[in-house]
Amino acid sequence: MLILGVDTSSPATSLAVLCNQEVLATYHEAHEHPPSDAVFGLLEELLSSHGFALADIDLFATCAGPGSFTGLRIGLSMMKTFAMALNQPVIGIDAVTIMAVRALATKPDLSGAFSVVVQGFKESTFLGRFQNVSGRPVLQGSLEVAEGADELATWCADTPRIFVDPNLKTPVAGASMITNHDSAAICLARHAYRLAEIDEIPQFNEVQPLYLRAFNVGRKAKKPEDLR
Amino acid sequence: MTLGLGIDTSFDDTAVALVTDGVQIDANLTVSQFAEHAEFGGVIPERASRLHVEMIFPLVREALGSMGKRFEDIDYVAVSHKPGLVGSLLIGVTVAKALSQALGKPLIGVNHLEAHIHAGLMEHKALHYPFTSLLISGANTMVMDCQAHREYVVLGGTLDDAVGECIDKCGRFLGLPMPAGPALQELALTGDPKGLKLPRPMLRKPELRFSFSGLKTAVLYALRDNPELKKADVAASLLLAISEVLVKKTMPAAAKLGHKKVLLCGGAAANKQIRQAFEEEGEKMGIEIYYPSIPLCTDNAAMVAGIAHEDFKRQEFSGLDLPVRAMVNWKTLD
Repeated sequence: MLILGVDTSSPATSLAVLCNQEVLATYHEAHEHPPSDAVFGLLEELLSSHGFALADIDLFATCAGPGSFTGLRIGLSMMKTFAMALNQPVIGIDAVTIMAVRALATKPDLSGAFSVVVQGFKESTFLGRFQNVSGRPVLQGSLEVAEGADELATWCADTPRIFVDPNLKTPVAGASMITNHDSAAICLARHAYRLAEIDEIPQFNEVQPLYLRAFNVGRKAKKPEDLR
Repeated sequence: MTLGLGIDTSFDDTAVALVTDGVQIDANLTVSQFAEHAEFGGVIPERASRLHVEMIFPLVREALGSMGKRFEDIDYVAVSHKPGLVGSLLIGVTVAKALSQALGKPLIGVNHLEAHIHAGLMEHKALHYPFTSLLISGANTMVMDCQAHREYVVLGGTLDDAVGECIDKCGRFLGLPMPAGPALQELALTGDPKGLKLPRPMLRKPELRFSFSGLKTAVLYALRDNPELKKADVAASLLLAISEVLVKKTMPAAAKLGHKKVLLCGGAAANKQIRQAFEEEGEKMGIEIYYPSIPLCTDNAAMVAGIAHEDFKRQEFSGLDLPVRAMVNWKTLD
């Protein structure tokens, strides 16, 4: 199975082509102001230089957020369009799960429950509780947001085995640092492959950007019928 | 036979259309987000882009499905890339680029306002270059010398508010539902256009410039100072003032260029009173007045696919690096 992974929700443009779990082609470059119109050209170049075409891709995997609102929308809209036009599945992986994939790569023998803290906008952090199910992080419940150091400390107080984003601004006592640096595109493509293996492919309409501000956690996407 | 897919997400409407050979409209779908922004009294750009992401995919599928077409049947993908809200434009442009890349079909970037003008050409065989166009919408008021395909020179525009902005805000003062155009038009039918004395901004100035913010203020103050004013009279008087200024500025400009045809386009060109005022003056001056049907006046994607067909014939395509632009640099007289 050939998987295309794309993440444009951070200042880095991250692209990867995987065959199952094996990385065949990758691009990862940080830009201070990522040009919104560059990703198509970069992808074209990556694919053609490795002898691939979009039509060869069996599964499209994209970051579903949270992240830069505009960047997120570009990557996700691009990947949903590819999937729609080429009649292939698309999977959106949230940024906390991407970090959980790195946590498991950092400590592959980790068993049972663990938690991940990812740096968000300004002082906010994104939090998730996971189970390691045969090497695949499975989110327990839904993602959470902590606004500021106090909320983060409260959340961490009753949470065992915390893994933190190396970019985290507020230190968390007793937490382990994630040291795996595989690109976001590689991590999300790997995770999408694991989901496809067990047929956990979402409905096309369920793949929506996750903006994850406390007030819109869990908001359902609207359909044209709702506005007519 | 050429099938064009058009996409427009320039402001608060998500629009997708299928057009055959640049003129035959097979599907013209528009979802208005207006109700979603109503509580704020105006469009919230971030909310608009979020809704575009939710609406665009079902609309593309619906457009193709309604005609029994497949993605492979599309010959070119056209999209508005300027002017508009950058965050909104980006959604349509991203989807259009991805379709073009996935299907291996040409991408054609379109100026949304030029597409509004092209809407007139799609529906009226008798309308051909050169002609004068008056583009009136919620954000624009422009008189243009339309010399050839995409060769438009701006002769004049507004110094402040657009016509549609003035209509919408005055509609709000009158307690009408948004967008106020249709309701104001209905209300005006029963009113006396001489019921309220309103200014005719810029009418005596020789230059081809409009100004509608003062008219807006005049309506606000009139309602504040005379609570017994009949709303229908205010609506009729406002539309008369707007129509008079538009007619008296646009028609002589067309005559000066020797144009025998004037096209009204953009959302506000759907207004009956404005259309009628132009037709009356056109009859006196021997100038033909044209305007698109209402679905092609308001924001739509059929006009986008339509204008792009001209570029498709000329093999003039856009690259995958097509940028989005909030503004357009028009050719002007000076």
